[in-house]
Amino acid sequence: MTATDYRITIGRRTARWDTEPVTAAEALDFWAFAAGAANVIMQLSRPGVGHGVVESKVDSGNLLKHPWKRARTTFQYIAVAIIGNPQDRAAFRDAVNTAHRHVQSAPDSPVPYNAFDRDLQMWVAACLFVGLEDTYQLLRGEMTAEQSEQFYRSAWTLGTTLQVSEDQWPPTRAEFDAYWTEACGQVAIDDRVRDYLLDLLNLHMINPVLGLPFRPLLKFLTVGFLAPVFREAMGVRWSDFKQRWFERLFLTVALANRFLPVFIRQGGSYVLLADVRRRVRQQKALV
Amino acid sequence: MLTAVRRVLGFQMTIAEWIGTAVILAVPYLVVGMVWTAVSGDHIGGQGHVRILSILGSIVTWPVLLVSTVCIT
Repeated sequence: MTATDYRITIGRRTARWDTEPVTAAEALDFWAFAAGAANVIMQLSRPGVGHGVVESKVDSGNLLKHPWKRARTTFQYIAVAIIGNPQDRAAFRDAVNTAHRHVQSAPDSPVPYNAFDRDLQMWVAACLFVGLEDTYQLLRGEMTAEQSEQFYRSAWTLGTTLQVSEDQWPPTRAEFDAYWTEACGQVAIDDRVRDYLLDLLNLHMINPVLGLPFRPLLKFLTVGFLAPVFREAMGVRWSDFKQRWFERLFLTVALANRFLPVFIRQGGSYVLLADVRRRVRQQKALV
Repeated sequence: MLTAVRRVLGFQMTIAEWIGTAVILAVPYLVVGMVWTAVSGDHIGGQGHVRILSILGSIVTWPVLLVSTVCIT
């Protein structure tokens, strides 16, 4: 395996329009959620995370049992981490901690895990960062080295909102690549986790009337957003032909996206953040 | 309140975003114009290109025609 096996490779992508400073907040365009399922697969491909989620007894946060609620809470986490203020992050951390306290491996678990494991959380945060960086560059073009650094630094709250500490993040974007390559060495998906992920990919958890028409598109997008190491672990196939369509699709989406005003592109994330604040005010459950 | 007004007035958008916003607003406006012209196009008159201009004018200026009985033929 080489470095290109750990990240997606894009041959033709949209041009960069500016060299202004950037932050991860600009990566919240709604198209980015096309990479959501791929990101779940990446996160769960670490055995400790995969078994922690699949064996979890916290039904209220189960993606297959309460898919819409899980989607809301996950996207709210990203919104809070990236565009929320320190109070929002503290409130969300408390709520997630309450759920995470129940996520510990039992004596019969094939893999030992604990949801408070900072290394596992770092892996999940790294996956979220990779997802944001991939989608952002597909929509707005490749960042300059300086922009990559700014973008990377601004995304640390993806981890530090929970138990990841700042010093766990590799200090520079180049060092993150080294972390990522090393961490990808631990990718392994067993049958139990793969079945769970295939249920997600086949949209078994939502109404088939709604799910069936979207299944081929979701599979196409998801496999397209997976680096070769994850495709191999999942046992899914990709081709040069599909890659060309994937790149063409995002060239078109990126062009359309340039013409959308920010309140349409990112409005959803701000609505989700407002909902978090409303729940905090009304003392309603966040997750 | 004042800060909200200032924030709205100070909001920056790229030219591309302005074009996109104009298109997003224009599409429903023109669709309503077309439907309205088709349904109550009694004011459409003339022949040939005059008629075409009259129809286009009606689609674009439907709110004016709605509140008045101005005849543009």
